[in-house]
Formats: sequence, C-alpha cells, structure tokens
Amino acid sequence: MVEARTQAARLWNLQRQGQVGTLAPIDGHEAVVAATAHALDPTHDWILPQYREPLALQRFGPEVLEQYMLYNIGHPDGSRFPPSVRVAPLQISLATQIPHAVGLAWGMTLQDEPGVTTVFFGDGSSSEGDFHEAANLAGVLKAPVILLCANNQWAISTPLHQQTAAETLADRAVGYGMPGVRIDGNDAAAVFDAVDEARQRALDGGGPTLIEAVVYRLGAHTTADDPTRYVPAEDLEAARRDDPIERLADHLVGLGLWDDETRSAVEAEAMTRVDEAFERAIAQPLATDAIFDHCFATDTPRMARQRAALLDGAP
Amino acid sequence: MAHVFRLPDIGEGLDEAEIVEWFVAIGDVVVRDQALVEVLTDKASSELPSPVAGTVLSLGAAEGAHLRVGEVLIEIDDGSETANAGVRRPPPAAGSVGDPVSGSTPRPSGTQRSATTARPKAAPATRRLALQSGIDLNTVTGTGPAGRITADDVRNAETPVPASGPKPSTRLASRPVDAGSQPLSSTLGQMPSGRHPLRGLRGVVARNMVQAWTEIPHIHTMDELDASLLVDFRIRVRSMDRPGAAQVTPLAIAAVAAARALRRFPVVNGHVEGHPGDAIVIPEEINLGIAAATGRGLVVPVVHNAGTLDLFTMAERIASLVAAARAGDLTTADLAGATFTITNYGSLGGRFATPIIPPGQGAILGLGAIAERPVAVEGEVLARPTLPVVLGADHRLIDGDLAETFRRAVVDDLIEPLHLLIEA
Repeated sequence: MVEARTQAARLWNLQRQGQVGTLAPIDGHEAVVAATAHALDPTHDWILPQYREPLALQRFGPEVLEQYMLYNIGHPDGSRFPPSVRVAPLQISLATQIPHAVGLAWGMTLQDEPGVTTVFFGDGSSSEGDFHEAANLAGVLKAPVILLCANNQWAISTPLHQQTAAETLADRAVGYGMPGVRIDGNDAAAVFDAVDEARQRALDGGGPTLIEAVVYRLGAHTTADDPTRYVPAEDLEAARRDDPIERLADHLVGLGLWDDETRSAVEAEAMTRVDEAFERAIAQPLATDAIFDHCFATDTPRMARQRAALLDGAP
Repeated sequence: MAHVFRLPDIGEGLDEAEIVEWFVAIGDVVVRDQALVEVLTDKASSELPSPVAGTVLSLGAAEGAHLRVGEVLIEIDDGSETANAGVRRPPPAAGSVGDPVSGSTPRPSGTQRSATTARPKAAPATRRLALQSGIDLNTVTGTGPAGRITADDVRNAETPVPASGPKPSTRLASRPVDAGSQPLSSTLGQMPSGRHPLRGLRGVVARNMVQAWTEIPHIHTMDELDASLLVDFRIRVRSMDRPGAAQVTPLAIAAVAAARALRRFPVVNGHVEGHPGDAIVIPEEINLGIAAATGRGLVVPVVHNAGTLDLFTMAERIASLVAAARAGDLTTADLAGATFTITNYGSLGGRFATPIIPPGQGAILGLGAIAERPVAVEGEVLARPTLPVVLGADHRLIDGDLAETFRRAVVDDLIEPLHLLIEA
C-alpha cells in the first residue's frame, strides 16, 4: 500500500513533466486493491482492473508495474500481459470489464478450471448498463466472479447522491440473486475477509458476490482533473483522517511490525523500482506507427492511408 | 548539459498555459520533482515539478505570459555529459507527430540515477518540512537511525545558503499569522512605468469591484465601542491551555459575534440575485469570508458552516486559512461560497472605512484598529481602548433599521465577549 502510494506520487510528477500520459492516482484505494490481491491466488484467480489499481497488484507479478509503465508512456505492449500474469489490461471504457469478467469466470467453470475472477469498478460504473447486464448473467450462471465496487463517493465530479437513489450499492445484489456485502474499504482486514469469503463461496459453486467497499477518493480523478473545484475541503479532510494506509500502519505499529524506518525503506525501494520501470519502459523500441498495430489483422484502406501519412510526417 | 523541459500537455488536449508564478530563478539549484512553476490552464492551476536535478539556466517565459504546449518552459543544467534528454520519447498525449527527433533517442536503461543514492535519507514529511523551511537536506546531518534526517534535525538546521555557490531555492514557508498583522511586502505600490495588462488576481479583483460598485447600492453604518473588556477577554482566553486559544484574535471574536448575529437576522446573510434584482436569496449556511492581504493582492478565504462554530474552532480555522492565503496554498473550494465578509482593515491602522460588498453577498463587516482613545464615561472623559466597526449593507435588501440593529447586535457582543462563550 505504501509502495503504491509512493509510486503514484512519482507517476503524478512524471505526468506533470510530460513524460507519461493521463493517469488515475490510486490514493485512497490502496487497502481495497492490495488486500483483495492478497486474498486471491495469483496462480489460479484472475483480476480485471479498471484503471486505478495496477500499482497495488504487485502480488500478481512484478510484470504488472512494467506493463503499467509501458501503458502510461503510450506503448501498445502495455496492454499485452504475459500469459503467466493473470491480470487483464487496463480498461478505460466504463464498466466494459464487468461482462468480460463474467464471461471469463463462466469459461473457467466450463473448462473445469479451479479459480475465480475479480473485477474492479467504481460507483459511477455501477450505473452503467454493462454492470447490470453482467451482474444479472453472473447470477443466472452462478459464475465464480467477485464484483468489487470501490465506492469512492465520486464519479469524476458527480457525487454519489446524484449517482443513485439507492441507500447502498450493495443492495443491488438482491435483484441479481447474489449476496451483497458492504464493507469499510479503508480497513484492509475487512477487505481481505470479505474477498476471502466470496472466493470460497465461488469455489464451492455458490456463484457471484457483489462487494461494495466504501472508501473516499483522496486525490484527483485523473491528472486532467481539478478536484478542488468540487470536493468540499472539510469532507476531504475528514476522509484523510481515515486514510487506509495510516489505519493499517497504526495497527501494525501496535503489534511491533512496522515503524518509520521500515516505511522509509519501503518508500525508497518503491521509488527505485518505479524509476527503473520507467527507464526500462522508455528504452523499449516504439515504432512511430505502432498505434495502428493492434486494431485489425490487416489495415483497412483508410488506416493504411493514415499509417502512410504518419510515416511521411504529413499532418 | 542543458536539460530542456518543454511545456507538457498536462490535461487532455490543452494548447497553452499561463505562467502564474515561478518558484525558482536562474542560478537556483533544484532537486528532481521540486516544484518549479505554477501554471494556469483552462482546466486548472497546476504545479510542474522538475524532471531532473541541476542548476536553472533559463526560464522560458515571464510570469503572466502564455506558453504554448511544446515551447521551452525552462532549461536546467543536469550535469550530464551528453546532450539532452529534453526530448526523450514524446509523451503520448503531446502527440509530436512528425517530429524527427522524437522516439529516436531513448535514454539507456541502467543509469545510476536512483532515489536511494541521489537523495539523503528522510521521511516524506521531513522532506516537506525541509522544503517549506528552505533547508537543503544535503546540508543537514542526520541523527536518526542509519543517518536518517529527522524533523528535529531540520528544525535545528541553520537556514542554508552556502558561503559560495548558488543559493538553493525553495518555496516560501507558510507562517501562522494574525490576519492582517503581517507587514506587507516591500513590493506594495511598486510597478515599473508603462502599460500593464490587467490579468491574474488583479484582473479578478477589478471585475468583482466594478460589479459590486455599479450594481449594489451601498449604505454604511459606523460605531466605535469601548473595547476594554474585549482586550482583557482576549488576553485571558489566549492564556488558556486548549487548542485554538493562541489563535484567538479580535477578528476571530468578531467572526463569532457576526455568525451569532447572522443566525438572528438571516436576511443579512442573504443577497439580491440579478441586476437590478430578480430575487432575494437566503442561504441555509453561514459562510464567512475573511479578507486577507497577501503579497499578491487581496484574497478572501472562506470559513464554511461558520454558524455554530465555537470561538476556538473559529480562531483555528481563520488562522490556517490566512496562513494558506499568505503561502499561496488556498484551493478553489477555500475561496468559494462566502455569504458574508469581514474585513480587518484596521490591521493597517485605519479607523473608519467604507468597505465594498462582494458580489453575491448582502453585507460586509469592517473592523478598525483598536487604540486608546477618549471615551466619555459618566460625565468624565477617560482614555480607553476602542474598536471602530463599520457595517456595509445592500440597500436593496437591508434598510437602515435592520443595518443598525444588526450592527448593534455585533457591537453588544464585542463590548461583552463573555456572551460568546455562554451561548455560542
């Protein structure tokens, strides 16, 4: 969690220096993502992220950071994970990863593969048709999937009360015939327990679970967003007092498992790793026309013209 | 060699940005990720951090100027032997299509640069403290475990400035201050001869003032109260051992008194909408604007939901907002939503003034300087500390009787501030 936040801060600076593209900081989601990853089995289970999670998914392999860096510098290979890494590419289109996750989970049962899929999305995505269709199908098929909604109170600048009239997002599970669980997403232990239980149920043939992890987005939606225009300062201040990292740190300090020195060491190590990943990413060859490479097996006539024009340096 | 840092597209599809403020000057030594400049785009104001450590060679534009994306923002000598870096791989969003250099000179991996070797050991909070205090961590000897620099090491460190060589540059520290009691910067009233476009904060102030002056028919009512009990009250409260006590000022006391009076007279917390006027709007909340002079001009941070704050909380909130205003750290939210403003013009010594009501509000309270003046007490003239107060009101909304009654309510609480503790 500390590693993720440290690296997110460095990535923010890299974006402000024009060295990486638009990205979504993880601040406030660290416990939800890291504890989920720790409750899953990287050799059998799948994770389908949205776009805020990669820095806390290192349990699924060091390749995740490498891929994320490639993605952030605009390299198409950033979306091509090695087969051993059970993490899907980032998904920018809202909620489209949810039907993918249900299909993947269903496919695993058809192929008798032991494992579950976990899909991350947010409060905004829970209003999308894709969520409702996928949740319905998952319930009918009893697909081994965990629908993990990190409710961070903001869909860019839309507050939760304008997003839904429902009391909780977890309530939506009833309509799809699956358990709905609402947890404190700033409590890493609560996240771990909820995901662990949902995973066991899925493996035992009990089907999907909707988990609503309640958090607060502590940073901007993305590097292109200015939250000071709409997030009430006092709300943010209150949320900071509930920072998932500080809560876990307090607990671990009490157990004698964590101190400032350890934290400094973790931060320094995280900074080194993110710097090295960035250096490796920018050292990867990137053809000027790589943007066309993964759309069709053969360029359409219009794309072929565009590719040629780009290589000619024409506008 | 010079590392050329070009203005990046930090939003999505931006064309240009305005240089609001440079935090560094030519010759300054900067560290990687140190804030260099604040820029304003049509989306937001952002700080741009340095991509490299080194010495500033040149600045691409003056404050107030506009730069297009891709133009040179700053050149920094990063001590490297090979020419530049400035154009590594193009950032995806910048889209340097057709640029023959881009993409062809990636930096080799495995270079020595790493966070652990390049930077002295210190926790992030300590780094922040050092930055705010103008202390270069490279000049501090760490007394923590494994030579780590602690916050105390930073506090004990002398202000830097090596005997020779360039001066390390950092942002100004924010200092807790009484609103208005800080001496203003020596740039007050200074401007070279010539024609200067009205922009930035000055431009915003100009537009607001014209709107206020032309649209709001002002009336002002003035009074001068015996501040003996107020002065005594403040001294005794400040000696209390509790959070916020040290921040209690006449301004904070007046803010609580004003909030109390606004609860009793919600119309004074309201305003007239439209020009010349379509509706009277009475807000649910009381949000107090606190006018503060800063080196960059007048800003009015807002204490939100001030209606029921106790004196100590009010004092803390005002102190932190004013400190943030002086440091230039206010957010947009800090500046939005005022329903009533208090201006402490007396911090500069004035007795009476006729403050202008900000657009979107119905009244403003002004405080003059507390000073010993002749007061008539039971037929005798005595020297007593007095506090001049002024209420400015929008006559479309507030008639003389309400203005006088409201002012009287505030004045009564300032004459006997114990009211504010008994019934917040």
